[in-house]
Amino acid sequence: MYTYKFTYQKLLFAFTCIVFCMSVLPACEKYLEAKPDQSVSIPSTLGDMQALMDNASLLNTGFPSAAEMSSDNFYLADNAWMGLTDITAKNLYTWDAQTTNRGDWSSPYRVVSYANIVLDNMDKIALTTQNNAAYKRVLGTALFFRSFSFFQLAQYFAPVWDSSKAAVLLGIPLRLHAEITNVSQRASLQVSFRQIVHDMEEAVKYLPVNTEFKTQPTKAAGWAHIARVYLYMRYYEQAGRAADSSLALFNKLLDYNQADTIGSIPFKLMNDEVIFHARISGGSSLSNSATIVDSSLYASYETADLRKKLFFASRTGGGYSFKGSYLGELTPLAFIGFTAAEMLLVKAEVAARLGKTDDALKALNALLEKRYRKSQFVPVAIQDAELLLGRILAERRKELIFRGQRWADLKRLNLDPRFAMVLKRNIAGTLYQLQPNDLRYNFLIPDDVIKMTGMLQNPR
Amino acid sequence: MRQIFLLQILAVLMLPMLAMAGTGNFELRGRVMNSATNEPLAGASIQLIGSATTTHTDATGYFTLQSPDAKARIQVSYVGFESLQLSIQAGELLEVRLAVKSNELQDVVVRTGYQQLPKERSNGAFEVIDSNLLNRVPAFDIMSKLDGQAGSILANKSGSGTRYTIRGISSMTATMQQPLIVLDNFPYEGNINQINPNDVEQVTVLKDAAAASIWGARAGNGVIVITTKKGRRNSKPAWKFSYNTSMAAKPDLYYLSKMSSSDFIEVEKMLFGKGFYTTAINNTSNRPVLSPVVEWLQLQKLGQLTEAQVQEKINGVKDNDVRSDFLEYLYQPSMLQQLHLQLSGGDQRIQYALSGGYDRQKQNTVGDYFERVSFRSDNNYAPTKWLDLDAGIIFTHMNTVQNSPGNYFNMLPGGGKSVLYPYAALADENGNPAVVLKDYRAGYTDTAGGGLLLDWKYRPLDELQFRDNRLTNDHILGKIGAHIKLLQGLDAELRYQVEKGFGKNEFYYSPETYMVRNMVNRFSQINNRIVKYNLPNGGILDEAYNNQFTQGGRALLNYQLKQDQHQLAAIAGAEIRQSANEASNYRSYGYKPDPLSFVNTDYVTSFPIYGNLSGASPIPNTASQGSTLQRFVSMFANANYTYKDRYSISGSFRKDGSNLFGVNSNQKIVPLWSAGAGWVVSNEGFYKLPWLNYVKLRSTYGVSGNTNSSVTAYSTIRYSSAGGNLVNIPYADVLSPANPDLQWEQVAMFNAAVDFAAFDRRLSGSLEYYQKWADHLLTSAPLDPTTGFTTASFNSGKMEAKGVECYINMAWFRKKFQWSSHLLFNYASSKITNYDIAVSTASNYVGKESAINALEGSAPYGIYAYRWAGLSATNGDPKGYYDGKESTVYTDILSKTPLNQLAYYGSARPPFFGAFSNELSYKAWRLSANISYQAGHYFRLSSIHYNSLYNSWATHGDFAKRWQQPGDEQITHVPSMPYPANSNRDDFYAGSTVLIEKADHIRWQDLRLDYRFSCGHKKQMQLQVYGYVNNVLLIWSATKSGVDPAYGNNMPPQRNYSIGFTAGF
Repeated sequence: MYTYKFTYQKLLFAFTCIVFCMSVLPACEKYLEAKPDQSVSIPSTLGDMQALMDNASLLNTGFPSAAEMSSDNFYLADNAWMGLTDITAKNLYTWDAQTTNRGDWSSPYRVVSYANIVLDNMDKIALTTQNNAAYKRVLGTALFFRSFSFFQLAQYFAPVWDSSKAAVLLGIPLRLHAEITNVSQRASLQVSFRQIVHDMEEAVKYLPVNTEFKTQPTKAAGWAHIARVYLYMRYYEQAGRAADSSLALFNKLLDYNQADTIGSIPFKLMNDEVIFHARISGGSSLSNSATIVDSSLYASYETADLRKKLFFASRTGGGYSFKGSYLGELTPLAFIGFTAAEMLLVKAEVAARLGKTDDALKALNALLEKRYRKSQFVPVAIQDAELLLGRILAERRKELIFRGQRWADLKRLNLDPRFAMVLKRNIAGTLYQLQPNDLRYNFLIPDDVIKMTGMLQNPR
Repeated sequence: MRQIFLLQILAVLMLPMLAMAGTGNFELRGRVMNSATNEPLAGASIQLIGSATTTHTDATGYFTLQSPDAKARIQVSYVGFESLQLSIQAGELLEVRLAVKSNELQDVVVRTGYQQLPKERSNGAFEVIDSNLLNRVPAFDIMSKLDGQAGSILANKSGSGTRYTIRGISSMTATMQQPLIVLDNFPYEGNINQINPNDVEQVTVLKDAAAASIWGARAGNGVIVITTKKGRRNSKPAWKFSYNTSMAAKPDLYYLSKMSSSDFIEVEKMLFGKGFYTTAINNTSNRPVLSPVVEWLQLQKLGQLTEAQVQEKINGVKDNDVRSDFLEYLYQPSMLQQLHLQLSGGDQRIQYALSGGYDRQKQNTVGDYFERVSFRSDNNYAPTKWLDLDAGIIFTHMNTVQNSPGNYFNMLPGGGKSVLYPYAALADENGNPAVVLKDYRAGYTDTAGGGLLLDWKYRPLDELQFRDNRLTNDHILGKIGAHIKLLQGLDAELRYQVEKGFGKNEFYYSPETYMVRNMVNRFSQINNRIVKYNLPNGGILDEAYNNQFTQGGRALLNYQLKQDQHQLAAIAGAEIRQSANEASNYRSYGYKPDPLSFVNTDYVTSFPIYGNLSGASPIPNTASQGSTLQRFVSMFANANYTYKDRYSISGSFRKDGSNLFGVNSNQKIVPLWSAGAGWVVSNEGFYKLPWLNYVKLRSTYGVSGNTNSSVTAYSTIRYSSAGGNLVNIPYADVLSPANPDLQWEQVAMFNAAVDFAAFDRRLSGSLEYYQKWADHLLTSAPLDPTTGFTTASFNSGKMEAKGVECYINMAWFRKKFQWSSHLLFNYASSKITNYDIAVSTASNYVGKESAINALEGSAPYGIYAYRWAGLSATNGDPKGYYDGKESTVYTDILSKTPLNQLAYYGSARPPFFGAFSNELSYKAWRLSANISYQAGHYFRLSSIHYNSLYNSWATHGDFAKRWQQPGDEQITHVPSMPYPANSNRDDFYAGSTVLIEKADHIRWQDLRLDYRFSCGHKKQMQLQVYGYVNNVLLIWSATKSGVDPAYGNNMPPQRNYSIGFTAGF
């Protein structure tokens, strides 16, 4: 049996133990502050904010596709429609009153949340002379993306702008902060659009004139967006001024005479005409092999119009497929960014509506010059305001095919009896119709959102 | 006399390492064995009565004692056994058989990783699996050995990979339900497969809060403490060699219910007629896969084949079943071989254990196997009487080879197909590798490139030889410890452990592999018949490295006091741990192993893809790097006081801190505690029940925690390199939304138990009742997508669980013929009591029982189903109910059925489970068998899903039983085949009550036969030979569907046969 007695070695041991404990415990605070994952951080620096805003795969590519699937740019053969596995896509094609595309709601709001995380954190970063440019750029970019996304949502989930009823009509939920605990509520149409315009007007103050990549917004992109929003709201003067501001900063056009008419993909991703790149995603009915370009629309392109060759390819199963995407790939999934061409069309339409025929013709011809075969181009010289507007809208239809603008154009033009039209689909003998100003022009808010928040659904 | 002398000489010659324990002229020899098992008892002490001479038995049970007299009396004693006094005579080998001390409860030692306690003195709920039980099942890894042997561990095999839970579910996050694994003293961070199970001495399962709370914030799901083998003091070197081999037949692919090829072809013909394939046939961009029949039908339509020719071609394949080719060419019987050699021993100051093992497991897929080489050394040295030093090292090398080109489940042709078409062939009539459809239409790859591109065909059987994919993993664990006796009753202990793991995955795809040829072709462009290779034309090497480095230190004070009627044992200490992980991935294009070279690659430029199969894209760059660090700091204390060997109280306390990201520092320190009391009723003076030998009542209550490092209170972002972005610039993703209310999960547990032994201790066992309250459970709940997030983690959940565990051991015969039975009965039921997240649509619950399926008042993993109203008599549509009426409006049923109108069956996990095992032994023979059962739960059968059939070739044998004409609804519940398919209709049927079956079953799990004998000179060698069969058979099952409910829609494992032997000398 060992009898216990005191020795110096033991004292040393005990001392070691005590030193160990003492050194462990007070060091806890610092020791426990180490970052658990080196690639993870709490967003706090301007660099973090810029990195979030540079997430182009997320911010620039996930915009709603339901409107494109429901619009009249294309039709599907009966068997292609029946073979669609995605029931939502199938139903959107026939404007089913109860169908909605869940991703169309969540993706733009995801972009809004990124913008909000950045905007919430901007207060914590001091503005100094050194970081002035970077700071403003991040601030402008976040406001830009929030406004861009809100407008996407407003076009599809809220009724078309009507100044007389805007205060009573429901718009979209305006989430302006990153926290997730507040219950989402729909703002009025008026407040929604006020926010969209306000965010973008703030953004253009801060956005830089040039950026390295076309996924990063510039001042010209900000103005282009304002032009688009005001045109949708039918505030033509404001739209015209914004389009001018955009064109003053960026007016490059692709000359289709120089484009490659033989290759199967004529345009490159983020080509010189693009002010800002964004696209829709999802849209399973929008496959290059299944979609057939509306035949009367195809017929409306003149032979001298280079777009006829550059935009369309004849299909094996008959009809034409679309190949003129500014996404640089064979897809009818829409590029929905801005181009100088769109700005010229806004400028022309606005001028025509305001009776400035010369300005309208100048803008229109500036675009068509680059679209028609040089040898066969005859400048448009229509003097009748009504006829000219019709021509400009026809050119808008042809230029912006598969560009995500059709649904919004239908919504606003249907308010004008001169341009209102009925959409029709015919599947295996069944005729589906969508009347002008039909409530189905406003998509349903996804069921789970309604259930979780109790917000009001769009009427049917 | 002379004989004895000779013997003595011989003994000295034979056993040079024999420790001379005494001085005398006569050598007394004998052997000590366990009377119950006939196993030698190593380290038993032998005392020469009337003198101070003592010795111990060696590892094979032998002892030698020097005595002044030729005849003497000795006392033989061994912990846990009845001591024996008997006479011994020099010159003969005395066989001593010690009987297990009847009070066996007293001697079971539980190891918590912090201390060792006699089970009797602890009030907590422990389950000890001793080496006897562990050795029963030959297996590659320790968890497989515990499966079925440890009553408290439930293995769920219905999903992918086996998941283990202790005492039911107490977390709503699947990754947080696993118990903590502790190896000797510290949590084990390596891969569990790296522990050689032959090195394991004992496993202790810590079940209740009192047992587990010493492990604090990671103990909420229970703890499994694995203790490795150690040497013994004062024992001669003992060798132990073991070998075993196990085999199982190729998997039974025909167990899976599939459509016949001719049925499948009929469906394809029908679809072709309806124009279903027109879009794909006309697709000239990405050229999606089309099955041969569809290609032939198209050729017939184009007039290139006649109807007769097509029919002939179809006749040629319609009897094929691709499963037979898979079984013939790509599956093999699996085989496990294990070798293990161990040396242990010690003298008065030293104890040592050395071992080496080699294991090789041939998988059931051709080309796949893995090997493990392990070495271990565990030593203990006492330089002085008050100091004990120990040091150990475990080295493991694992080598995994994965050259199988794929199996029936994962050899996918691309284009969203979930399986190959059923009439595919892997080899032609002559057994040569056949072309199998992959990624594109056959017609396209026939002619693409006009002969200028690389061969674009996929021949899986060829791939076997072109790939060289290996994963190696080295793991070293080193530990040192010092134990010092400070003062009377007070000891100090210092420990440090370091774990270093290094893994390297090397996947080499030679230029001949399909993967390389396909990539090269896609990135090729042909201009004027000149091929431009944008992707280097050569092999591809993928490398992945991971590096793990864990360090832990602990200082502990241990106080023991025994005075009169009082007994106190207490520990207190502090601990610090850090676990760092680094991982990196690289890919080299144009790689050549000899001479070693690779080509620099342009990852930035977007190259066009050949034939516009997809949009232009840069060459994929898989390079990535990551690094994580976890830190824990803990303080703990634990005390146990016993009075008069009857009353005991115990308590524990622990504080944990961790650097888990974003958690406020005040939340970082979580106090966790437990308290318990015990009363040995049978030790009371008034106790007078002669037949009930032992009764102890004990009860505990305590709180432990559960953490998840991936959840944070702040918005966190993750940086990614430019490779994953649309433009060439690094970017960040938001990982989680801000939620400042986040905190840790807490699990409180109450445990009450009675331990008993009766009828001369023939009957013994325990009965435990527990209740659990899990609070602040993290739930990844659906979030209003307007917030920008579709799910987020909240501490919104509460769960309650209660259960009963009953262990009964019965020794029917204990003499020469022995028969004992063990019955294990478990009842565990959990209920979700609070769940703040709004209830969503019915389709989010139906068919989702593989997830937690949280709904207040229901069990986790609840099975919900749509009510079934039979098939329509007119068209065979499945009918359900909506709004109280029969309905075939499937969108309404799926999205608008209120949850209370769904049929609810309870949990998919069994509330009742257990085992009944028997062991018979007679002389050298021993026979044991284990029967397990699960009851009270349900499972869902799979059936035909027409939308998946049309689009992804997913077939099911129920197709043959489908409704085809009015009247069929009387004999079948399989809906008619519709066109076009309606996935909501399919989902309704798949989720309906008609496919729910009872999952109760009884399984004869295993059978083992042992034969032990001694041989060699002086019977020095102990041999044990055994045979073992696992997965014997499913004895009874409540379902008549032929599906094994324990494996759901997975294939049950094949019966596994093992033989092996152990030699000790």
